[in-house]
Amino acid sequence: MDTTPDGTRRILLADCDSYFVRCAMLADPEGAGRAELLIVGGKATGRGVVTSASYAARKYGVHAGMPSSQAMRLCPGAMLVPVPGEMVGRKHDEVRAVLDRFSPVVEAASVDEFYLDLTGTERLYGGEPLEDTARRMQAAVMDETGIAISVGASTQRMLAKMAASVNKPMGVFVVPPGREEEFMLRFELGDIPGVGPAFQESLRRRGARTVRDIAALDEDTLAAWLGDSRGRWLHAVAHGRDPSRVHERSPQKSVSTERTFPVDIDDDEELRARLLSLAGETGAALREDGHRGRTITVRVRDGDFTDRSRSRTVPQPVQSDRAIYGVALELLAELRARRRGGVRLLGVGVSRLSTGDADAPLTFFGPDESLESPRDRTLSEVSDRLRRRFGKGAIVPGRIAPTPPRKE
Amino acid sequence: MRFTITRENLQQGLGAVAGAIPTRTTLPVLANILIEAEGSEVRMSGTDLDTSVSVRVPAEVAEAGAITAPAKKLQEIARELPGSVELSAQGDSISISSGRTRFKLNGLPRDEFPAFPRVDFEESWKLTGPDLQRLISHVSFAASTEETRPILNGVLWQLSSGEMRMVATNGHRLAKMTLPVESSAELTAVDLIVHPRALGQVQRLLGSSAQVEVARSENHIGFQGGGVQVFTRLIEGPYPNYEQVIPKDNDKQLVADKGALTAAIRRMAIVASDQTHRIRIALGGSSLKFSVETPDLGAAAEELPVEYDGDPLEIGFNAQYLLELLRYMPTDEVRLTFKAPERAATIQPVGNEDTPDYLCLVMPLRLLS
Repeated sequence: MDTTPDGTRRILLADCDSYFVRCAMLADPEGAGRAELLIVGGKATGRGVVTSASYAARKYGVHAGMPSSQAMRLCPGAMLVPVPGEMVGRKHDEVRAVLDRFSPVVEAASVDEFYLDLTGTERLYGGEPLEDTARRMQAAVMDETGIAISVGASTQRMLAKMAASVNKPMGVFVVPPGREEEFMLRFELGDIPGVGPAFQESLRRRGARTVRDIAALDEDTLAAWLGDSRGRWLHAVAHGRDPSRVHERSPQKSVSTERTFPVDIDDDEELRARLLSLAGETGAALREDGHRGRTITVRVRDGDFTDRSRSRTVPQPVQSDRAIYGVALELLAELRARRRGGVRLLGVGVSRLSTGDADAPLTFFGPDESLESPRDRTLSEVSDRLRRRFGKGAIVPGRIAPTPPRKE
Repeated sequence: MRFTITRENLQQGLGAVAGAIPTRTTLPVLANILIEAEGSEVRMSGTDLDTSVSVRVPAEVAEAGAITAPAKKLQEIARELPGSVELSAQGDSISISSGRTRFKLNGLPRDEFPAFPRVDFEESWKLTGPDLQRLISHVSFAASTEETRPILNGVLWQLSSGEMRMVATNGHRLAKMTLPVESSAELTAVDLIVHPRALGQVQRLLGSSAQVEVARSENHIGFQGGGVQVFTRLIEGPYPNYEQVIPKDNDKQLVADKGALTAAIRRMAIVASDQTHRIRIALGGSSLKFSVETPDLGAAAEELPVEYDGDPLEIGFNAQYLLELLRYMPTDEVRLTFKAPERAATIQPVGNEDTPDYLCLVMPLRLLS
């Protein structure tokens, strides 16, 4: 029986199947919608990486994270489209709305993955087997949003995620309670979320490649191999035990925007202009969520893929574009002073978020308005409103406004 | 340049200067120590361009001269040498020999070393090391380390003919101490803003000197005593008006044992938010009730018997600020005063003759609901 006795957890992972590809097809039904070989993300000639590819294109060896130019060489007949940002956001909300009907606890783990906790809903579903619930959920999401999902279910969060990968696409796989350990034996260690290439390599050096290889080892041996916390964690996971719970939206910790450039940027003036536009986007996202933040971070990826970042915490939470840009500009200058050369990626983030003034520490001398004044906040709010009404390009700082075409 | 020096004198000199050498620098010569041999002394100097330290140690100088040597390597070598040391320079190369050990180090010419600020000690304040030490150790911790308001990164040092005072704050908590000084001559009162790093050097190198001379130029301040000199760039003012934020009408007063108060706050701090460190204090009757409640983490409460005089009050604080200020209180008992939930509170030592005028302030945190 799929329903579980009291106290046993029923956790589902709904994983959207090639989500970015589906979104690209829905965004452009006549073009991308008809392409069998479809690659999403990046540009064929410039840079950027593949975000996702259709199953047909994956057969050519194309995979997410691969430079788009390389993907096009592997699969020359494919159609390459940029990430359909707006559609990705819209469908996420739509899928979530459907899932919300199935469980009171839905947590979006990423843009295309949702955990649902159905623990304690047995009576609500009148003893319906979990597999049937999953199939109904799948059908409802497909019907109402056009997005295909694969569903995994288990008593454990991580196992639900692994179960979802078993029968992709449009699959449903339920790990029967009590059979978790047996279920895990089919996997390679690299299939376990959290076991990355370096982790795999350190296991491989000791002759372990599959879950079966380590299932027979005791906890202390793994702890001696991998360190205490990682060893005990892997031991638990290999035996089908994962203690993490499903949270309803965990509180947001940071907001950031970053951009990979088509060609490395070496010119400081150009970098500052890009920074201004990123600071504006980050600021808008921050304000949209009703947040302020105290820590500003600038991240750069140099031409040779060295990632560097610098952060600064300001005394009062800020939210205006001017304040974010002001701090970000100094951070960028510090990063550039350490190391010059071309910049491949630039990002601006804000963290230590708060809502309202409650968390702002009181000061002897009143808020420091040199960083952010009421006028700065008003200006940002007004630009937000204009952009909501007339579109993103409705109002931009003069420095980064596109030059109008000259009349001949 | 050639001189012979005892290992102890060499180590002492290098140890004194090493603190001024920046750990990372874009100007290679700043990683070096300037060594100047003349008469019967060797002078060693180091600088990070903001703060410079130089110290004189006795040596037998056979040939006067100067060179700069990599500070870290020279210090490591001095630590390992067996006995008295002969040091000589030829061009940019430094030879160090002791017993049967020989080292050669690559130096840089002295011309590359930045010139020290010129400060005239003819007109100077004459203070004692322990007085300076007492002021610095009680106040400079409170200076800001955030870069948004550079003036608060400094310590305000007010010198007048009868007394001297130091004040430091980061805008959320403040420390202030005043000491009487016997001045040798009538000097006009002056406000100086000094970086705590430089004061740390003064404390370390001159804190036990019987007499420290202090003098200033346009942009710098110099300290000297017992063969040691410390120079630092002054931070340009004006310093915010701290007098105005010192509460005059705090009508609620609490006297408590510092140890008990500290222990209770430390316990509360465990479950305080690691972002705000907010704890709640409820005063009334003869007890102080601590409580803390952090969403997603937990809660704690504790009651402490205290002497309290005033109307009931509930007020929030950053536990870390309270703990920090308590740590610097020199007495077993402390007095706290309050006015209202969003007004500055004061903390003072009770019954100390050593530091009669020591006052710390802390701003509360808003309480949710």
